[in-house]
Amino acid sequence: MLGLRKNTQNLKKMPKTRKLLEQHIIDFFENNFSKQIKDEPGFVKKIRVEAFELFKEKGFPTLKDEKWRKTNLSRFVDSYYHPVLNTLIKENIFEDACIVPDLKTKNIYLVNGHYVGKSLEILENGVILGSLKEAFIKYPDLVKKYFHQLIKNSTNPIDYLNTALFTDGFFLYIPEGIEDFNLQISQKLDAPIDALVNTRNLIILEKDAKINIIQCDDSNEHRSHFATFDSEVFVDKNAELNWYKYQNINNLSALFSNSFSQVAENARFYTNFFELNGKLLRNEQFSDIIGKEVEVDHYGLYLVDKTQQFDNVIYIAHSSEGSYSNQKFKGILDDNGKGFFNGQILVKKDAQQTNAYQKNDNILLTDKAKISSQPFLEIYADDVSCSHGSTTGQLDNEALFYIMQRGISKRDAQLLQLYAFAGELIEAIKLPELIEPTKDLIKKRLNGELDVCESCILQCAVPTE
Amino acid sequence: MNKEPLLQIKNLHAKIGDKEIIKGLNLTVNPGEVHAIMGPNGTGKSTLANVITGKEGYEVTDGEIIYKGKNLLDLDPEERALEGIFLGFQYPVEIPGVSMTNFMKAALDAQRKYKGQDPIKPGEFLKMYREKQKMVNMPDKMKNRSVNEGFSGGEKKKNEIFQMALLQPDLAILDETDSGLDIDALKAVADGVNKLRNKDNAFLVITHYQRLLDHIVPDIVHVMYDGKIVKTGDKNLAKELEEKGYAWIEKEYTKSKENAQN
Repeated sequence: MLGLRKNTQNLKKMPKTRKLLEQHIIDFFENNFSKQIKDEPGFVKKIRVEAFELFKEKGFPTLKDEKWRKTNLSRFVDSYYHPVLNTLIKENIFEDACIVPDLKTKNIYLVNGHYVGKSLEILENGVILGSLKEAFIKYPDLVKKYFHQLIKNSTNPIDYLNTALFTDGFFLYIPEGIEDFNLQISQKLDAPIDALVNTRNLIILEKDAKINIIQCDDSNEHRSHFATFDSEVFVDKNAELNWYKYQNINNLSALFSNSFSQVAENARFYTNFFELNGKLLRNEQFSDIIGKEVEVDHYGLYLVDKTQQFDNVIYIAHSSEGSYSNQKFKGILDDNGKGFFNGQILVKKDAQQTNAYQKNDNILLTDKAKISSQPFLEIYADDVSCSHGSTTGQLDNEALFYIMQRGISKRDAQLLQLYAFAGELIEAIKLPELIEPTKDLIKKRLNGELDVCESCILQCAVPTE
Repeated sequence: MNKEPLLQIKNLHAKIGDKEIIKGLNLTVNPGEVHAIMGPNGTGKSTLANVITGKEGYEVTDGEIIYKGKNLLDLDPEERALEGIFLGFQYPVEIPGVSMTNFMKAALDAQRKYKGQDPIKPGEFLKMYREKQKMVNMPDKMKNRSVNEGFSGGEKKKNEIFQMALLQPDLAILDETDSGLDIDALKAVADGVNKLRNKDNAFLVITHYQRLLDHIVPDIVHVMYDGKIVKTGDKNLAKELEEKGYAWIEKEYTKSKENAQN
């Protein structure tokens, strides 16, 4: 055994065959990046360098990695993607900015990993919102307390890459007791080249704060982009964060969105993701429950067709007793579409009276569509209530005939059933203003009418009467 | 008086897989008529309903079905429905997540589109919906529920009649709508049918028992056996069957078959 291990170590030291993109990233970091970050505080630089070393050592995930067995990155990592250091913002890019009808929101824009507009501001209610890089300089003490505190535990090379190379992202600080704040984030991949985009965000909710985030991930150009979008989220006692996300990027691009959160006593953290288009979408969520009476809900709907692949990797850790978590993911897979669901629940030894649930349901519309659904329960406490379930099936032919016998076409009968299947996640939306736009988006997507839009997808989704 | 038949089935043969179920069936239905099709289990009554409505999995090997002068077998299931054929299912299917109102609005709008009309206005739709609910004695709260989900057996059957009332078909086929019903539900179902009966439409009531026919009085009664109609009479034939059972039909049929062979 020892001999073997020694051999492996020796092997590791040997020059490794690098993927094209890996080598490109390493060269870029070593030769060009230092001048980009020269104004950053030392603690950030240090974190970047450490992450870079880890990335250099580990490289991109491969099919041999447990959570990447179904996700082949080779089409991306064997290509060049170029870091976008300065984004020229087209003047009218946000002329048709996202608008959710009847909902008052503060809107921010992230383009190719850069924060657009007024870089950092304190709003009337004391909310601090703006560029993370700007926050490093203006609020170093505040940022230092939180930044990288959760992601540092990650062993995912995507997070190493993001940490080493992020250009910017948003910083959101919600002071104690602030309520009725809706933030709308538009992330755009919009470069005339194949771009490597790394965005890093930090969200802090102090006690009793309650906010909604509505995020749209879009892309304009029909270029292939490789994007990471990492977020750290701190939800303090009695606070509530509801995060809705709509993902609709072009069918050449990959987007890895990883969020790491810490949820304190009596707080609520709710996410509901609508994954609509993209060559590869991967959402990883790691949530750590550190107090009693917490409720964490992670929901998602993935609508996959052509040769798309959408992954959802969820990890909920119950580190404290008496809390509740629920994972509910549903997918419809058509053509050669692929899906990967990996849902993990960890109940630590002292986390008694935990209630943790997980459900993943899928409909496959063709023989070639594939879903891999993997539930993991790791339970070390004895007084808990946990369940998990996964189903995969086809549309019910008896129901199809029943619907058609009432004069409804086969296509509409299928749509009716698929829409009904998706309905559970629409019903889970807590913000009433989002319900109609979401319904409309899903109908359009199921009907094959939703393409990569010229403007924000929620805008596209304004119901046409 | 227009007496062109609504439905004409001539020498119909149909099979599922390799098994022939309908073996040379003839039937003519005129507007304004109520036909009952009776017969023991497994003689092809439900298969006949499924073939007329175009359910997948049945192969017509011979014969034809003419409906309103058209070759019905050329039409897709939804076209047959849009042409006014309605099937009251023996086992209505549950469709989770699709509310009754959405389902019926979609069905009505499909019908209107087929006729070149605009979608029904929501107000008009709800008014009509409530009217028909009342007709079959269905509580209003059911309209928000998913189609047939969690409905009792009686509720499901009433729901079929309710849908029929809304869609106003020209030819309604009721496949054992009476099975599993208590007397009140049976009366509600029969009431619905009787209110909808008129000189232009027709009903094909498939049933095993006579009791539904006490409430829906048929003009013509057929007995189906071994994939064919072996006996046709008036409402008294149903009564005779109720008294004597099906055994004598079987005997008679076997005898005539033997005679034919000899």
